[in-house]
Amino acid sequence: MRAFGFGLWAVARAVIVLVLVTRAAHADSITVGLFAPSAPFPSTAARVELASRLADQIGAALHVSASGKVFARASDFAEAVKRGEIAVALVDSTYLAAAPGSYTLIAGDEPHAWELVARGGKIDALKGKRVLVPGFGGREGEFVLNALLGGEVARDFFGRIEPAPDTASALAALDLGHGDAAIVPAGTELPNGTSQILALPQVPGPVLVAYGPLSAERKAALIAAAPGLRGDATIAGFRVVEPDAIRRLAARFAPVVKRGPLAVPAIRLLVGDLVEGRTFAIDRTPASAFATGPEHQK
Amino acid sequence: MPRSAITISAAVAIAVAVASTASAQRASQGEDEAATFVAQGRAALVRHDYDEARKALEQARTLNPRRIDAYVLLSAVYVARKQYKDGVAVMRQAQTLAPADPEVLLALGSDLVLAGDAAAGVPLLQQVVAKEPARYDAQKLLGHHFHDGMHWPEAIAAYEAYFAHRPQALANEDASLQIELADAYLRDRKPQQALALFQRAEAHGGRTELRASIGKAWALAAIDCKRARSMLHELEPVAAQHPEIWLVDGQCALSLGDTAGALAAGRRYLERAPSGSAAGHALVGEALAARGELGEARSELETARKLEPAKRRWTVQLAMVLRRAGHPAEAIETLDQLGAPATPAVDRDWWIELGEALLARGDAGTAATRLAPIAGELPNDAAIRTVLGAAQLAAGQLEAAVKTLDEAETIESTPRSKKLLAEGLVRVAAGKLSADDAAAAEAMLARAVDLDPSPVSLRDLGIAKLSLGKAAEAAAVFDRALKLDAPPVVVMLAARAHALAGDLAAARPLYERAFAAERDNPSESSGSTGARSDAERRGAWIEIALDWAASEVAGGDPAIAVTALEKTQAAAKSSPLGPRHKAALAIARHAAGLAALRAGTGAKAVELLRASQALEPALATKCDLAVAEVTAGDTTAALAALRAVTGQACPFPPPADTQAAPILAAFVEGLNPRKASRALERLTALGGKATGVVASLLGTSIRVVALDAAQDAYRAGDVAAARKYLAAARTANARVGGDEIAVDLAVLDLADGHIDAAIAELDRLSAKVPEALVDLGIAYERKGEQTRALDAWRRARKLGVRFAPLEDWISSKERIYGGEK
Repeated sequence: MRAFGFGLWAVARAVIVLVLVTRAAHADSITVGLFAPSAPFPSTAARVELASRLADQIGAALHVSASGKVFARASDFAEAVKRGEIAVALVDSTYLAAAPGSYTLIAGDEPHAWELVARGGKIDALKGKRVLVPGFGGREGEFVLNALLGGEVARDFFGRIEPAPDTASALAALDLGHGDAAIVPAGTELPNGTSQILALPQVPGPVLVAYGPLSAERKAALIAAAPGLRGDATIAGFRVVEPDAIRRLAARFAPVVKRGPLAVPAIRLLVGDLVEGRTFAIDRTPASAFATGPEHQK
Repeated sequence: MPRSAITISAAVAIAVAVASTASAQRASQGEDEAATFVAQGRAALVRHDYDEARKALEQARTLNPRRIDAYVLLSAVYVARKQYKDGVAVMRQAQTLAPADPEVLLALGSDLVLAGDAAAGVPLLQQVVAKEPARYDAQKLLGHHFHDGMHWPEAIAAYEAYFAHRPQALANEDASLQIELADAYLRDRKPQQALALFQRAEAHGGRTELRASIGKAWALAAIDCKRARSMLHELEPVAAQHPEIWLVDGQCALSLGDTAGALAAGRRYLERAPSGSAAGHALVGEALAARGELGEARSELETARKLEPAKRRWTVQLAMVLRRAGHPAEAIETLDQLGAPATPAVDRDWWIELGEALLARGDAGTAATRLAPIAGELPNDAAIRTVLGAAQLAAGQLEAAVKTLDEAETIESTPRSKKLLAEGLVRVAAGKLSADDAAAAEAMLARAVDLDPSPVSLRDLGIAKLSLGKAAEAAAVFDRALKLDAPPVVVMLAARAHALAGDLAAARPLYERAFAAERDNPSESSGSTGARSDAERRGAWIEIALDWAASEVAGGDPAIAVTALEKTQAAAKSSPLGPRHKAALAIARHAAGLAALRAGTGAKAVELLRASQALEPALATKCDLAVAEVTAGDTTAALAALRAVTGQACPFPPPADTQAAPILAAFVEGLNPRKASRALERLTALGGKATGVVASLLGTSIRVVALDAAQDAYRAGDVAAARKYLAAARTANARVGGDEIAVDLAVLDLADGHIDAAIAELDRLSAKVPEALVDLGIAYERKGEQTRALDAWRRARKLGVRFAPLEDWISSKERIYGGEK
């Protein structure tokens, strides 16, 4: 599934804008964008295929013509959104957490655990080393140090935290020795000679969002249709995502400041004297009322 | 003893006896010719020459008509010749000459008895022995007479006197007389004495040995049928000649439950002893009755009665069979046809059966009335008293029944008398219990339990002890009752006893058992209580719930009380116990609410107290609800609840009863960070004249509000403000919160960078304030000691410290520094 060749690296580095369905743009046509560098698609063609499939299904659901468009760089995607070209998009949650904007969360892939991959050893061995991570337009360092490592390693622990075009590119670079470690979603096929150094916490997967051009009614229709959208081998489908999932991920980007609790006596200690020593009694039927002579015996 | 033997024996005895009398006469009258003829007559009598004797004695009478010894000896000659009427005639002449002479009376009495006129003779003989008990000859005749007439006590008295005074010369006659005395003993229910005497008679050997052996077996049969039967079987070779051996063996077999053996013996007896077949039919009838074949038994006993209508026993047995066959009226009619015996002692069985039949007919009052005077005439009879007691019991004459049955039990204990006496005691005790005289009831019930530890006697004894406050003793009694057939209510009482004795751990499973039994078995009667209506069953279930709740509320877990009562709530709505149940549930919820309050689960306390208040509004509940609202942390609800009780006298220790509400209101407001300062001012102002509980409440309020405000400030990163509030908390006069203040100061030290000092203090306080472990972990982390930091946080988690980020912190550190422990 994940037979990425390193040769794709150069291709991926290029700006790829493919118009999958060439239809004349008009009022009832929308564009479904795809910017999900962390999703471990086996090839660019697979990304294009998914974008096309989603466009068909979303167009059908909204009774409009729709085209799919794959973005390789965050800036290109941001620009397209800004221009109002993108009505619906499948986007990495890390991108949305790092660059807040105006969108409506429709649905999403399942959350995925991440992992730190290297050629053996422990994390201590990676001190000062170069780490690759699927890029999402900036703040990758905060993502790695705070969101994934919980602030447990110092900011200068790694030598460099470098963004890669996507997960496949990061692992290909590690395989070629262009990096000492990679931080990627867990479950991806790893290059020979590498292994998981650390299991890292879960992060929400790519999410389906709607942007300004889409009317409220269509957003509602899209939300209703989302569970039925069929994905592919990488992103199988969509489910309801907690509304504040992205906000909480964004909060994890912030530096971890540990501030413990101050101790406060339990309030029950305050009122304890008021209710201390209180007794209660429920009247019993006198025992003699249950006395009986042998005439009641069988 | 054959009459001929008695005749000769009597004649010789008279001859010997008159010898001394004649001598006395000679001494007083002097020698004369008549004396010579008397001497000749006596000598001839002794050598059985009765003609010579008669001639000589007639000569003596002719010579001296006032010579009494001549009359007496002549009478003896007639007796020897069995010419009793002639003897009587001679002695009648002598009586005219010497009416008070004991020799005359003795001879005349003897002649009359021998002539068949016992009615005239016996009084004369009794007159003799009354004056001279040592007159063995008269005693022997009386003994024989009474034996033949089946007057056993009189026969015993006469024969005992005979043996005490008879001359040694007559010892050779002992065996036959001993057998008669032994017979009398046996019939008079003195089998041990009879046995001893039969054994002595048997030892004499001779003609009477077999008769003695048979008597011995009968006496033993009256003592121990098991031993007797082997003895009776030894007599089998002579049974054909003495078929009564089968009769006795059959009776023994019957008493031992060997009805087949009894039946076989009875039938053999009937084959061999057609002349005595009434007894055989009776035995067969009794054996059939014992086998439950009452129809055939009736037929056999009717035959026996027909054959020997005068034999009372057959009629009594027939009546018994009729009664057992369910025809008590016929039984009574049969007994009435026979009529009561002349005296109760003659046939006490008739009276016993009459009592049983009347009881069976449901006429216990009549039975009691008729048997009561009879029992007085049978002073040592346990059986008549047992039936009388049963009748009195059934007639509701409880005190009298207990007295009668007590007498029966003293005379001779039987399972029936024990059971009846125990029943009487239990019923009398039940009355005492209902009259609040548990002490009297306890003594009676203790005796009833000794006699017959039935479920009812044990239950009521336990109840008496419970009523007297002897819970531990009651528990022991109920535990015995539980091993028998214990209905749910007894299981409940056992639980109550254990609970009141302070052993709720033992009580709780019993309550569960009783509760489940009534709940799960609503459509069937349970235990020994008989059939009950649905309403009664529901009532019993509710009763158990109430009692369980009472025990839990008094010293256990009021939450369990609430559960038990809530499970029965629907059933109680339509029950007469509904109002009690409602009040109890309100109390249980109130108690459970306070328990939740003390346990620190304020929300649960609020829920319970609201529910209690909804059931039965009460100021006390309202006040406690306000306190619970404060601990639950819902400011709006707390302030509203406090306003509702402000100015009213709550059940708090004074002066907090009226002052707690405004203090708590200020406290609640102070928990709002924006109002903390103002609340502290208000609380401080209220503290001026406060004393006791109020002073304590105020001091604690100030401290908690100040610490809460410090926490808010610290969370917001305002360490300076936090320090200011901490200072206010320190100065508050409160018993609680000292350790928390120390922890918080250490936390601020940590914020100021005094890591080592903070670690030392937090480590010291962590045992008392588990939250310190979270801060201790942070301190270690800042010092670079990641493993120790992780350990501190894990300990905090284990101790249940609630701090939202803790779990993430532990997970992150475990990823880097160590796996899950």
